[in-house]
Order: sequence, then structure tokens, then C-alpha cells
Amino acid sequence: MTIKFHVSNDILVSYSAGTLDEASSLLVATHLALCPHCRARNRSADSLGGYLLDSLEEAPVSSAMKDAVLTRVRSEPSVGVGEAEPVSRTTGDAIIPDPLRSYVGGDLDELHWRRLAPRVQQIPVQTTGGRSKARLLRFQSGLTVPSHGHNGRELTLVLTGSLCDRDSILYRGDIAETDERTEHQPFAGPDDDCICLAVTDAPLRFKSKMARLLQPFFGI
Amino acid sequence: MSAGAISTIATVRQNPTSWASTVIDRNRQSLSWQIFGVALARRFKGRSSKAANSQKTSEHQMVAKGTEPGDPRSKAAEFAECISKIATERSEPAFDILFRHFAPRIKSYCMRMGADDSAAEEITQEALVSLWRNAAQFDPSKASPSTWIFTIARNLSIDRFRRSRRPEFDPNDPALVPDDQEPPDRLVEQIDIEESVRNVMDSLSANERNVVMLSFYDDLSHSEISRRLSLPIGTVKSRMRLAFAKLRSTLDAQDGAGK
Repeated sequence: MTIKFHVSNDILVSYSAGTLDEASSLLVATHLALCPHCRARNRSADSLGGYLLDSLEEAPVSSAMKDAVLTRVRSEPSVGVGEAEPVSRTTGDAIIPDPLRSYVGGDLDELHWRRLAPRVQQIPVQTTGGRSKARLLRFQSGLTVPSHGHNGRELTLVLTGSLCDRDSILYRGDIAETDERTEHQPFAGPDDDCICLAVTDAPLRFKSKMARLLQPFFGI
Repeated sequence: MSAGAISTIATVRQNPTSWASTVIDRNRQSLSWQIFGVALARRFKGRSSKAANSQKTSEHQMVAKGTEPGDPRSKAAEFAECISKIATERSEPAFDILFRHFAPRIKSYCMRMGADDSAAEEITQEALVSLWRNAAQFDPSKASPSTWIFTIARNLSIDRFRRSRRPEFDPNDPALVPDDQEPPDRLVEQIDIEESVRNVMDSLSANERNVVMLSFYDDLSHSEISRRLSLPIGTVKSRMRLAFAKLRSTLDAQDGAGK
């Protein structure tokens, strides 16, 4: 299945610059594992970083620092000119690609889901720095998420099943990006459970009173 | 984000009143820029324009010039050779050339990321030792020396200074979707990607390059950039839109399919 919904230029460029928070970077890196097209775009963004490094003003460097560097490299052991490590794929199957698999502690069959709402389960993903929160969500097939808006940006990366959001159907590897202006009611496709990685930088705004009342208990 | 040493970069020679007319003028050109950006970059391959860190970039600089001594391509070739000499013969003169070019710039980058002077020197020191140690891993077909060194400095400054992480994909992961087997004529070499980014950036005016720089390295929002440069927010937005429209052609078109 070819991925149709890619990471946006803004986010890709922040990822390359190193200014994107860890939770969102985790989502970008997981998408890159699934999307050769964006891996090529990522190389472009990195070369923008290289270009801009050349264009930066020069900060004066102390001579003590230069001496320290020279002392250190002189004491470095000789390294043989090794060929670059050949890329050999680890054998075996995995549904959840790295780096996400390491963050959640295993592949799909090793995860411990917690109930979030009827027919919805979650696994919070620990990241540091920034306000953004990452979580794995599992929607039972056919489930409709209550209509809601956002107080900030939300990124969703589909890993299994499908998610229908507004006029689009998202499959494995696809990314949905929403912001303050988006109000939506996504639903999981009819065939398999939909598992996705969701990263939010602010709590959601649910429309229904019941969902709003329950929200503090779920922390979503 | 750091207040950092922005002011030198933000040196803009034109006076504020001329910016508005520049933007209007560029609006007229933007469509053709977008369409022809990459085509031009490819066409002028081998005849790159001059290093872009001068403030004197003309408004219509997508004009190829002959290869000059200060040319970024020949610089890149020289730096690549230095890295290879470090790997093969532990050459200190080669290291010195790289040190003189990159140390002040890596330090500058670290300070933009929010490091103070001594933390910036510490990270710069680590980056240069890492350059020496990993010289044998440098592959000129995958990245230019500047891009390779940028990624080293970036990863170190996130680790050391921000105490955060920047997760990366693992090329050996069993769940990784491998690159398409493109027919040879569709393959875009990394070196071409580097060059089209360089060409598009060279084609920007100093003003446009400035907003890209503030957005890339300082992660500033439109309103922060507007305050920093004392420009109306509308001007910042339109300048940003135009600059990224040109860059978009290189960010989007790399595998030729955009699927």
C-alpha cells in the first residue's frame, strides 16, 4: 500500500533542525521507517541544515579549545579505514517499526493495553521535554470517536487497520495533521482494529457534554 | 529559544520601506520560480553560483556563474578530501582546515540552540573529536561534508544541551519499508539533492534567507520573527511563504513521484 498522507514540510524541517519536541520527533521517525518518499525529503531537509551551517556567522573560538581538541585527537587510537557497515536487515517480522517499538517496549503481541473508553484502549508513551504527549490508541473496528476540536496540534500516524477522517481514509503509514481549526469525528474502518500513534500538544475539546465530563479521567 | 547571536545575521542592508516593494515584485515572479526552481537547479548543474553567506546577494541571482575558487562545490570537494586524509593518514593539516571553517560555525549553531559560550565550546569540541573519530564512516555519496557535520553537531547539542532525545529510524529494522527499486533514470543521487537545495537557497534574496534561517535554527514563530526583525507580520508571512514555496520544490520532488 502506497502512503498518501505524508509529514508536512514544516514539521519535517523542524525535525531536521533538531527543534521538534521528542514526542513529535518519535512520530516523524516512525513514519520515516515506513515511507521511502519522506526519507528522501528528510535528506533534503538535512542538506538545508548543512547549507545553513555554512552560512552562519562565525563565533570566535578560544585557542584553549583548539589545543584541547588537538590533544584529544592525538590520543585517539588509530582506526582502520573500515568499509561502511553493510545494511543487513534484522530477520523476523515486526508490525511496529523502531524507534516506536523500543519506546513501547515490544511489538504488537507484547503490549499491555489499558482501557480508555468503551472500545478504545491506550498505552501512554514516555517522552521527555516539551508539552507534547504521545500515546498509542487502539480503536475497535467500526468505532466512531466522539466529535471533537483541538486546542493545539494533533498528529496521528496509522499503524494497523484504517481510519476515516473527514474526506480521507488513512492506512498504515499515513499521517493526519489537525490544528485548532479542525473539528472532526474520525472513525475506525470496518475490517481490523485501528492502532495509531497520536501526539497532541494540548487537550482535546469534545463537543458532547458526556465526553467533556469524562475527559479528566482519561487525561486525553 | 535563545536570544542568541542573531543580530549579525539579521544585518539587512535595505531600509524597511523597500521591503514591501520587494515582496510585491517577488509575488509576481513566484509562480515561475516554483515551476522552474528545480529545473533551473538541474540545468545549471556544474556551474553553481557563489557562496551564499555574503549579504550582497542580488535579487535575481538564479544566474549561473562559472566555478570560482570560493565556490561551495570546490569547497565541499576540498573538505571531503580533508576528511578522507584524516581517515587514512591522521592528517593534522587537513584537520586544521576543517577546524578553521567549522569550529566557529558549530559554536554559532550551538548558541542559536540556546547554549551559553562555554557549553557551546564544549559541544563544538565534542563535535570535532567525533568528526576525527568517525572520519572513516563519512560517505561523500550520501552527504556533503557540511551536511554530515551539521548532523553530528545537531545530535550532540540535543543530547548534551537539551537533555532530550531525537528518535531516528533504524535502517536495519525488520518493519522498515525499503526504498523502491527505481529504474536508473529515475534515481536521484544524493549529490543532486544537495545541489538543488544549494541552488534554491542561493536564489533567495538575503531577506528571504534570513527568515528561513530564523525559522530553521531558532524555531521562531512568525510573530517572534516579526519582532526580532522589526518587520510587519504580513511581510514576514509573505516572505516566508515565498521562500518555502521555492524550497518546497526540492523537498517535495525528490523521488519524482510525490505519491
